[in-house]
Amino acid sequence: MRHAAFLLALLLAAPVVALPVVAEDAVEKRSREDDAAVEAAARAAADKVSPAIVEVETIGAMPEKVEDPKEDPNGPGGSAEGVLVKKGFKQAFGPSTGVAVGPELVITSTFAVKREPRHIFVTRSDGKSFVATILGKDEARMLVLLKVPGADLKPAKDCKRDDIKAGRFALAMGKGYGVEKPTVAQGIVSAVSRAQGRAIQTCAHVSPACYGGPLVSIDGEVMGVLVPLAGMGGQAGVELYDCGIGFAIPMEDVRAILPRLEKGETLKPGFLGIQIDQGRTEDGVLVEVVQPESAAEKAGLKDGDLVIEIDGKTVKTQYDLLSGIGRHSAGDKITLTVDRKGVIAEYEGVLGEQPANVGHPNLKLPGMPQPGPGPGPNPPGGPGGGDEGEKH
Amino acid sequence: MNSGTNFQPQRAQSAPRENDRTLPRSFSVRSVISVARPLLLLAAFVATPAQAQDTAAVASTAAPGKLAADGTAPNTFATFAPKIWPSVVKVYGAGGFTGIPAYGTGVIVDPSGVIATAWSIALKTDYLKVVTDTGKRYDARILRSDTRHGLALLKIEVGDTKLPALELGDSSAVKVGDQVYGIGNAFDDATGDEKCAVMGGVVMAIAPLDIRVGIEDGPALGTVIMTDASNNPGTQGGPLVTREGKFVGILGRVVESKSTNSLIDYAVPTATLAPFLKAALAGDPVPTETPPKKSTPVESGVRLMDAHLVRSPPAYVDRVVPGSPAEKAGIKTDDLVFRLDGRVVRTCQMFEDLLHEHSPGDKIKLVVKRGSSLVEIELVLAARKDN
Repeated sequence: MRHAAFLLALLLAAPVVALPVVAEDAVEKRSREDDAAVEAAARAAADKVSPAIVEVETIGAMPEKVEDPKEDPNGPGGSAEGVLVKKGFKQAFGPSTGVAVGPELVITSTFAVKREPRHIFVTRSDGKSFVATILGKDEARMLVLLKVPGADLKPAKDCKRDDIKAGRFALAMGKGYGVEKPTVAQGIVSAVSRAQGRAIQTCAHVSPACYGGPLVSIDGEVMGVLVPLAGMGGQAGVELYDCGIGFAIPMEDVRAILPRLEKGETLKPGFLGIQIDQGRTEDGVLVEVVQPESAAEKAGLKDGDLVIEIDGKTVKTQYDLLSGIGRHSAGDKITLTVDRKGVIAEYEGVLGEQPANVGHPNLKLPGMPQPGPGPGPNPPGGPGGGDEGEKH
Repeated sequence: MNSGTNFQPQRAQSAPRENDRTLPRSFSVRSVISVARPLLLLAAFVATPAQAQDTAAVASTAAPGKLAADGTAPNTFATFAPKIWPSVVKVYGAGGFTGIPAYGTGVIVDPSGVIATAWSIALKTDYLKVVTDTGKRYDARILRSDTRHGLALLKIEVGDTKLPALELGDSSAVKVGDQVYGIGNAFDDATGDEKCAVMGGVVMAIAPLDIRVGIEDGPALGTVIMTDASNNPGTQGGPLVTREGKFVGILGRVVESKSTNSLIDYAVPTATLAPFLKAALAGDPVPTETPPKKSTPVESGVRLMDAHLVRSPPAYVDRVVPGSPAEKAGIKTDDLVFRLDGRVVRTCQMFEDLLHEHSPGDKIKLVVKRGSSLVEIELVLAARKDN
């Protein structure tokens, strides 16, 4: 307390000079204590999850084609240092990351196997390797489930979806550099519902080094699995890496799809098959047209129906409906509560697969309109599903 | 601010804010977003130099660098900023190299005017300039460069003046998860005596870095400190500082990791800089590249699949030479070599290259995939018989 006494003396002697010094010192003290506490907590959280993080090695993958130099503003052979612009092949040879979800099950991102490797190996945190095979895939979530016989993995604790909130501390961890300890990037949860409700968004740097790795909470629980999603409308891939926009599939959703992946299924985005009135924004989603042969028709939906709930959750806007469907895959059963001319009834249906000629994965809704106030044009679907479609 | 794509004719770069970077799509996103951060930080720090000085004065009563009265080490950037910033300089080299910033950052590492920075082709100019923290401008020359590790030492003539040099910290003490600060002139947004921007982050990994420049493989940089604090064009050459204010690395230039095909933020550790600096200060001759040791060719007895059939084939065992070490060790046809001495063998070529590092009589450890299981095999290499 000598320090305090010294400051007190300063205060008494020359209050005008001392005051700002006192204030500054308190801030300094506070922030260095906070820094130390955050660092210690982050380290503890990382240590807790580390045993569940595995390295996914692949051998015999196809080489990756490099973009055409004609597209590069530098012209053929471009010269951005360190940035690939020449025509040719390059192959990232580093390992990818996976998270243990069972004694012999590892979830990773499609990034790990996108070049169709002949051989997959999973290496535990203690350095022991095992042969792995692909069980199932989820194309919408960019997840792949690997079976690793004999691996005896120790999954970490899942973080409950309700405990994932924007602003909460988050660590993005990975094994992409093949070092003993996983890499750790620090940030926060930026949003809890992105990509039609499928993903959490984080500002922790997410790059190929941690795709397939866990997004970890301050308590050392796995909030989600990091995937190379690009959010709404963008091309999935690595375009957004390290920019402060990363995505993770919440563990609760991963658990929900595990049984189907274990059976060897390839999950595709679910498709309902309705064209909606985007002008309505408040009290439900108005069905303009039910597509023939679609899941919506099979469920018994009719033109003019007002969808007010999906799976018991209130639908006020099209986004509620989109994320309600987005959390499902093709083949999943859904329950829609519909107001048909004042008669409210529940309709059960099974989501179908997205037809090839529809732009948006969920609804007959080409392109995703920008969230915003006011009614917008209601673009009909068409081949290729242009974003700028106008109502005829 | 740097989104222009015009090719600039080569010229001596003395004016800041040249159009010097043309970025492909993948990089522009993060550049645009991350540029906001240093700007904000800069604004914050420019506004408070007087306060920072005051803090330093107070902290000095508890002796800087030592434990404060309450038992905690002074560790926020503002606490030690007065010690760091005077040693950080802005470096201006040649413009005109698309994608290579003409501007960079440097750290004064010797009071006689020796500045450590990241190696860049832009340094190779007669018009190399250094602007110190006080805004004073000097002509500079390259004292020594180490292109392999991406380091360069610059010299400015300061006469009898002693410049505030930054002491090299112990980079081996840095651990994954440590909070760190990168200081550099990102996007050349600091001019004259304005302070370079400070970027905060944590140590992501400490790992060997294999880099790629274009589609050409770059030299292996050795072990580097990777961080999630953004290196942006211009920060290369600046110091990486720990939360205790220790200078532990030189921020690296923009390179792509061969491991992930992505751009990485990293620093060359002071452990690499220290011997390089020591040799340069002592005037030791520049070490010539030692030619690789000619080793006696080894024989494992493993014959791999024909490498001419497919591009980079995995190391499948095509044939095992009878009576060879491989046969004795139990390697079988159709085994796939997965690891050699712990390293993943991705191609036939890698297998041969790794074997070349050995001499006859060496024991090597292989992990091979046989069917759906992994088998560990040890074998002692023999000398290759010329036939």
